[in-house]
Amino acid sequence: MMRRCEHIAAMLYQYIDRELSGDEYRHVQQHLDRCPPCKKLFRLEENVLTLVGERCRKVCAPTNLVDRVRRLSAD
Amino acid sequence: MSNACCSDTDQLQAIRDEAISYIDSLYRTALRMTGNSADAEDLVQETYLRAFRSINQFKPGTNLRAWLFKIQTNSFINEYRKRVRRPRNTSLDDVEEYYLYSHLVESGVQPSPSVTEDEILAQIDDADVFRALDDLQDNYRQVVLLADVEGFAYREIAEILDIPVGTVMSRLHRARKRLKEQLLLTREQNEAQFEGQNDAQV
Repeated sequence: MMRRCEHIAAMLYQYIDRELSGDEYRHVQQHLDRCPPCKKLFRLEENVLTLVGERCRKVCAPTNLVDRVRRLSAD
Repeated sequence: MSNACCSDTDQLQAIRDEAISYIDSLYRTALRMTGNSADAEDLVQETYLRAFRSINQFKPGTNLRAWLFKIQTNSFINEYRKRVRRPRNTSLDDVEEYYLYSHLVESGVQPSPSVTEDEILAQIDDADVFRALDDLQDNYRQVVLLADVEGFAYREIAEILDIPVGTVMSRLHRARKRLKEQLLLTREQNEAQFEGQNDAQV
């Protein structure tokens, strides 16, 4: 792995989480456009985390709990 | 005078209604944190009870969802965790963590060229994801749920958990690394089991 790739990899999560400044974001994006291995790594990480989010968000509160909370709200 | 009173009442009711719209988020987080639906329901109900009781303390215009998560997190830490001593979440020490990681690298869990990433991800089912999350320590699971499931920003998570943003980032980093290892390990174990079954049939 090139030094530059290590430097970019350190910003992996902030990039995925959209927590980089505009300049930093463009800096990472430019590198990813030129470096297929980094691009692949970033994509895999993002896909794994997206999958975790999607699977967990399928879970909904049971109806009886929603009813109980609605009653609390009306009290 | 009466107008002011009614509009205040209306505003409070609007806040309560909005609060209830976040019940799925609070419940699925509670479910993963407590590990069972009965405790999760109790935790969520307790959260709303506290929220409705102190609704006057909520500043309109600020993030109501984050405010509710903060209440629920405090209830979980102060009430639930004190009451229930769960045997799970015995954290692996660093030596074990290193072993696990090098084991993964050596065993070549890295995707083989013939398998696409989409195929790898498609093999991971809901139960694999829940198991991998459940295997994380509480404070690691918490940041993953807030960031990757609920989509909170770092500073919101910092506010909810009452920790510095830098701590949020380092916890997320370690938690996600561990989670990814668990998910890949799950896949490796499934394959090993599958191969074992095939061997048995021969």
